[in-house]
Amino acid sequence: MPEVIDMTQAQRLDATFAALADPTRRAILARLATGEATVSELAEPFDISQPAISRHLKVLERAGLISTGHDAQRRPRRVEAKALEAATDWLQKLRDRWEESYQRLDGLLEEMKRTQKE
Amino acid sequence: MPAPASVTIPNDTDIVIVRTFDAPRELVWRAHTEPQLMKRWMQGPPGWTLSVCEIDARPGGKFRNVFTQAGQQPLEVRGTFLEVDAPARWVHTEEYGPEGSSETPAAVETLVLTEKAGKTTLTLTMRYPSKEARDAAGQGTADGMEECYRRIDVLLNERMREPTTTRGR
Repeated sequence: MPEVIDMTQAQRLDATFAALADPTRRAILARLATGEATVSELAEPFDISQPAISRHLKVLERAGLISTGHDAQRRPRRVEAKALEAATDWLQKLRDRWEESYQRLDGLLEEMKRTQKE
Repeated sequence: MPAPASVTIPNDTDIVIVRTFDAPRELVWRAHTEPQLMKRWMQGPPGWTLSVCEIDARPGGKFRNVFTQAGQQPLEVRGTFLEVDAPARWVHTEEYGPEGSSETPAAVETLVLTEKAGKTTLTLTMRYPSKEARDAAGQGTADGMEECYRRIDVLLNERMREPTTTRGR
Protein backbone atom coordinates (compact mmCIF):
# COMPACT_ATOMS: atom_id res chain seq x y z
CA MET A 1 0.00 0.00 0.00
CA PRO A 2 2.41 2.74 -1.10
CA GLU A 3 -0.26 5.45 -0.87
CA VAL A 4 -0.51 4.92 2.89
CA ILE A 5 3.24 5.28 3.35
CA ASP A 6 3.43 8.38 1.16
CA MET A 7 0.69 10.24 3.05
CA THR A 8 1.76 13.11 5.26
CA GLN A 9 0.43 13.20 8.79
CA ALA A 10 -2.18 15.81 7.79
CA GLN A 11 -3.36 13.74 4.80
CA ARG A 12 -3.52 10.71 7.02
CA LEU A 13 -5.69 12.61 9.50
CA ASP A 14 -7.97 13.74 6.65
CA ALA A 15 -8.37 10.13 5.52
CA THR A 16 -9.09 9.11 9.09
CA PHE A 17 -11.79 11.73 9.59
CA ALA A 18 -13.37 10.95 6.19
CA ALA A 19 -13.43 7.27 7.10
CA LEU A 20 -15.02 8.03 10.47
CA ALA A 21 -17.70 10.27 8.93
CA ASP A 22 -19.77 7.23 7.83
CA PRO A 23 -22.07 5.55 10.41
CA THR A 24 -21.64 2.04 8.91
CA ARG A 25 -17.88 2.37 9.09
CA ARG A 26 -18.09 3.53 12.69
CA ALA A 27 -20.29 0.50 13.47
CA ILE A 28 -17.72 -1.77 11.78
CA LEU A 29 -14.98 -0.20 13.89
CA ALA A 30 -17.06 -0.63 17.05
CA ARG A 31 -17.50 -4.32 16.16
CA LEU A 32 -13.77 -4.75 15.45
CA ALA A 33 -12.92 -3.06 18.75
CA THR A 34 -14.32 -6.18 20.45
CA GLY A 35 -12.00 -8.47 18.46
CA GLU A 36 -10.92 -9.33 14.89
CA ALA A 37 -13.54 -10.55 12.40
CA THR A 38 -13.79 -11.77 8.80
CA VAL A 39 -15.73 -9.97 6.05
CA SER A 40 -18.65 -12.41 6.30
CA GLU A 41 -18.72 -12.09 10.08
CA LEU A 42 -18.78 -8.34 9.70
CA ALA A 43 -21.50 -8.40 7.03
CA GLU A 44 -23.83 -10.49 9.22
CA PRO A 45 -25.21 -7.85 11.59
CA PHE A 46 -25.51 -5.25 8.81
CA ASP A 47 -28.23 -5.22 6.21
CA ILE A 48 -25.76 -4.77 3.35
CA SER A 49 -23.93 -7.01 0.92
CA GLN A 50 -20.43 -8.38 1.43
CA PRO A 51 -19.05 -6.32 -1.51
CA ALA A 52 -20.44 -3.18 0.17
CA ILE A 53 -18.79 -4.17 3.45
CA SER A 54 -15.55 -4.80 1.54
CA ARG A 55 -15.69 -1.28 0.12
CA HIS A 56 -16.11 0.19 3.60
CA LEU A 57 -13.22 -1.97 4.82
CA LYS A 58 -11.03 -0.65 2.03
CA VAL A 59 -11.72 2.95 3.11
CA LEU A 60 -10.96 2.08 6.74
CA GLU A 61 -7.78 0.27 5.75
CA ARG A 62 -6.56 3.14 3.57
CA ALA A 63 -7.08 5.48 6.53
CA GLY A 64 -4.90 3.15 8.57
CA LEU A 65 -7.77 2.46 10.98
CA ILE A 66 -7.82 -1.30 10.40
CA SER A 67 -5.45 -3.92 9.04
CA THR A 68 -5.80 -7.41 7.57
CA GLY A 69 -4.43 -10.40 9.48
CA HIS A 70 -1.97 -12.89 7.97
CA ASP A 71 -4.42 -15.80 7.73
CA ALA A 72 -4.78 -15.85 3.90
CA GLN A 73 -8.05 -17.83 3.93
CA ARG A 74 -10.01 -15.96 6.58
CA ARG A 75 -8.34 -12.56 6.08
CA PRO A 76 -9.53 -11.28 9.46
CA ARG A 77 -9.68 -7.52 9.91
CA ARG A 78 -8.59 -5.86 13.14
CA VAL A 79 -8.60 -2.37 14.48
CA GLU A 80 -5.41 -0.23 14.50
CA ALA A 81 -5.73 1.71 17.74
CA LYS A 82 -2.86 4.11 16.95
CA ALA A 83 -4.57 5.83 13.98
CA LEU A 84 -7.71 6.33 16.04
CA GLU A 85 -5.67 7.97 18.79
CA ALA A 86 -3.99 10.38 16.37
CA ALA A 87 -7.41 11.47 15.05
CA THR A 88 -8.82 12.37 18.44
CA ASP A 89 -5.58 13.54 19.97
CA TRP A 90 -5.43 17.17 18.82
CA LEU A 91 -9.14 17.81 19.37
CA GLN A 92 -8.79 16.43 22.88
CA LYS A 93 -5.69 18.54 23.60
CA LEU A 94 -7.36 21.61 22.16
CA ARG A 95 -10.35 21.03 24.41
CA ASP A 96 -8.10 20.66 27.47
CA ARG A 97 -6.35 23.95 26.67
CA TRP A 98 -9.60 25.88 26.28
CA GLU A 99 -11.17 24.21 29.28
CA GLU A 100 -8.22 25.30 31.41
CA SER A 101 -8.83 28.94 30.43
CA TYR A 102 -12.60 28.62 30.80
CA GLN A 103 -12.23 27.30 34.34
CA ARG A 104 -10.30 30.46 35.19
CA LEU A 105 -13.15 32.39 33.54
CA ASP A 106 -15.67 30.53 35.75
CA GLY A 107 -13.82 31.86 38.79
CA LEU A 108 -13.69 35.38 37.41
CA LEU A 109 -17.43 35.34 36.58
CA GLU A 110 -18.26 34.23 40.15
CA GLU A 111 -16.25 37.20 41.41
CA MET A 112 -17.98 39.57 38.97
CA LYS A 113 -21.41 38.30 40.06
CA ARG A 114 -20.53 38.99 43.72
CA THR A 115 -19.30 42.52 42.95
CA GLN A 116 -22.45 43.21 40.96
CA LYS A 117 -24.68 42.28 43.92
CA GLU A 118 -22.82 44.56 46.35
CA MET B 1 -19.33 23.25 38.04
CA PRO B 2 -20.30 23.81 34.37
CA ALA B 3 -19.85 20.94 31.89
CA PRO B 4 -16.46 20.95 30.15
CA ALA B 5 -16.07 22.68 26.79
CA SER B 6 -16.91 20.70 23.68
CA VAL B 7 -14.59 21.10 20.71
CA THR B 8 -15.79 19.77 17.34
CA ILE B 9 -14.95 19.99 13.64
CA PRO B 10 -18.42 20.00 12.00
CA ASN B 11 -17.04 20.54 8.49
CA ASP B 12 -13.73 20.95 6.65
CA THR B 13 -12.84 24.49 7.67
CA ASP B 14 -14.21 25.12 11.17
CA ILE B 15 -13.30 24.42 14.76
CA VAL B 16 -16.29 25.02 17.04
CA ILE B 17 -16.04 25.42 20.80
CA VAL B 18 -19.20 25.36 22.94
CA ARG B 19 -19.17 26.08 26.68
CA THR B 20 -21.84 27.13 29.15
CA PHE B 21 -21.10 29.55 31.99
CA ASP B 22 -23.10 30.05 35.16
CA ALA B 23 -23.40 33.81 34.63
CA PRO B 24 -25.44 36.31 32.60
CA ARG B 25 -24.05 37.02 29.14
CA GLU B 26 -23.36 40.66 29.95
CA LEU B 27 -20.58 39.46 32.28
CA VAL B 28 -19.25 36.87 29.81
CA TRP B 29 -19.18 39.59 27.16
CA ARG B 30 -17.25 41.94 29.43
CA ALA B 31 -14.75 39.18 30.23
CA HIS B 32 -14.13 38.90 26.46
CA THR B 33 -13.92 42.60 25.65
CA GLU B 34 -12.31 44.36 28.66
CA PRO B 35 -8.52 43.90 28.63
CA GLN B 36 -8.03 43.88 32.41
CA LEU B 37 -10.62 41.08 32.65
CA MET B 38 -9.24 39.15 29.65
CA LYS B 39 -5.82 39.09 31.30
CA ARG B 40 -7.31 37.35 34.32
CA TRP B 41 -8.37 34.22 32.46
CA MET B 42 -6.82 34.12 28.99
CA GLN B 43 -3.26 33.17 29.79
CA GLY B 44 -2.03 31.05 26.92
CA PRO B 45 -0.15 27.82 27.51
CA PRO B 46 1.50 27.07 30.87
CA GLY B 47 4.33 29.52 31.54
CA TRP B 48 3.01 32.17 29.15
CA THR B 49 1.35 35.43 30.24
CA LEU B 50 -1.01 37.65 28.30
CA SER B 51 1.03 40.79 28.91
CA VAL B 52 -0.45 43.11 26.28
CA CYS B 53 -4.18 43.09 25.61
CA GLU B 54 -5.82 45.84 23.56
CA ILE B 55 -9.43 45.50 22.43
CA ASP B 56 -11.48 48.02 20.52
CA ALA B 57 -14.70 46.03 20.18
CA ARG B 58 -16.62 47.96 17.53
CA PRO B 59 -16.93 47.40 13.78
CA GLY B 60 -13.56 48.25 12.19
CA GLY B 61 -11.88 48.31 15.64
CA LYS B 62 -8.75 46.29 16.26
CA PHE B 63 -7.49 43.96 18.93
CA ARG B 64 -3.98 42.88 19.81
CA ASN B 65 -2.86 40.25 22.29
CA VAL B 66 0.79 39.63 23.09
CA PHE B 67 1.77 36.54 25.05
CA THR B 68 5.19 36.52 26.68
CA GLN B 69 7.48 34.11 28.45
CA ALA B 70 10.96 34.92 29.80
CA GLY B 71 13.66 34.20 27.24
CA GLN B 72 11.16 33.57 24.42
CA GLN B 73 10.12 35.57 21.38
CA PRO B 74 6.75 37.23 22.22
CA LEU B 75 3.70 35.76 20.49
CA GLU B 76 1.33 38.25 18.92
CA VAL B 77 -2.28 37.64 17.87
CA ARG B 78 -4.25 40.49 16.36
CA GLY B 79 -7.18 41.24 14.12
CA THR B 80 -9.99 43.55 13.10
CA PHE B 81 -13.62 43.41 14.25
CA LEU B 82 -15.98 42.93 11.31
CA GLU B 83 -19.23 42.82 13.32
CA VAL B 84 -20.02 43.73 16.92
CA ASP B 85 -23.43 43.34 18.54
CA ALA B 86 -22.87 43.64 22.30
CA PRO B 87 -23.43 41.50 24.35
CA ALA B 88 -24.50 38.84 21.83
CA ARG B 89 -22.00 38.50 19.05
CA TRP B 90 -18.75 39.58 17.50
CA VAL B 91 -16.87 38.53 14.37
CA HIS B 92 -13.20 39.35 13.92
CA THR B 93 -10.30 38.38 11.70
CA GLU B 94 -7.27 36.78 13.26
CA GLU B 95 -3.68 37.23 12.21
CA TYR B 96 -0.40 36.20 13.75
CA GLY B 97 2.80 38.12 14.20
CA PRO B 98 3.38 41.90 14.24
CA GLU B 99 1.34 44.29 12.08
CA GLY B 100 2.12 43.96 8.39
CA SER B 101 3.63 40.47 8.68
CA SER B 102 0.70 38.74 6.96
CA GLU B 103 -1.62 40.02 4.25
CA THR B 104 -4.50 37.57 4.49
CA PRO B 105 -6.18 36.70 7.80
CA ALA B 106 -5.27 33.28 9.19
CA ALA B 107 -8.82 32.79 10.44
CA VAL B 108 -12.17 34.45 11.10
CA GLU B 109 -13.56 34.03 14.60
CA THR B 110 -17.23 34.34 15.49
CA LEU B 111 -18.33 34.54 19.12
CA VAL B 112 -22.02 34.05 19.91
CA LEU B 113 -23.43 34.35 23.45
CA THR B 114 -26.96 33.22 24.26
CA GLU B 115 -28.51 33.49 27.71
CA LYS B 116 -31.10 31.21 29.27
CA ALA B 117 -32.19 31.26 32.93
CA GLY B 118 -29.13 33.23 33.97
CA LYS B 119 -26.69 30.89 32.21
CA THR B 120 -24.73 31.81 29.10
CA THR B 121 -23.83 29.47 26.29
CA LEU B 122 -20.78 30.54 24.34
CA THR B 123 -20.20 29.30 20.80
CA LEU B 124 -16.83 30.19 19.34
CA THR B 125 -16.35 29.31 15.68
CA MET B 126 -12.88 29.56 14.17
CA ARG B 127 -13.04 29.40 10.38
CA TYR B 128 -9.88 28.76 8.36
CA PRO B 129 -9.33 29.26 4.63
CA SER B 130 -8.82 25.53 4.03
CA LYS B 131 -8.97 22.15 5.66
CA GLU B 132 -5.16 22.01 5.66
CA ALA B 133 -4.93 25.37 7.44
CA ARG B 134 -7.58 24.29 9.94
CA ASP B 135 -5.90 21.00 10.79
CA ALA B 136 -2.47 22.62 11.01
CA ALA B 137 -3.78 25.37 13.32
CA GLY B 138 -5.69 22.85 15.44
CA GLN B 139 -2.72 20.59 15.82
CA GLY B 140 -0.43 23.56 16.38
CA THR B 141 -2.56 24.97 19.19
CA ALA B 142 -2.91 21.52 20.71
CA ASP B 143 0.85 21.00 20.63
CA GLY B 144 1.31 24.32 22.36
CA MET B 145 1.20 27.85 21.20
CA GLU B 146 4.98 28.12 21.19
CA GLU B 147 5.12 25.31 18.65
CA CYS B 148 2.43 27.01 16.57
CA TYR B 149 4.33 30.28 16.57
CA ARG B 150 7.63 28.60 15.95
CA ARG B 151 6.13 27.26 12.72
CA ILE B 152 4.80 30.69 11.78
CA ASP B 153 8.23 32.19 12.51
CA VAL B 154 9.88 29.69 10.21
CA LEU B 155 7.31 30.48 7.52
CA LEU B 156 7.73 34.24 7.88
CA ASN B 157 11.52 33.98 7.84
CA GLU B 158 11.33 31.95 4.66
CA ARG B 159 9.09 34.55 3.06
CA MET B 160 11.30 37.42 4.12
CA ARG B 161 14.35 35.63 2.79
CA GLU B 162 12.76 34.94 -0.62
CA PRO B 163 13.12 38.40 -2.24
CA THR B 164 16.81 38.66 -1.24
CA THR B 165 17.69 35.24 -2.60
CA THR B 166 15.90 35.84 -5.90
CA ARG B 167 17.65 39.16 -6.25
CA GLY B 168 20.90 37.30 -5.57
CA ARG B 169 22.89 40.21 -4.27
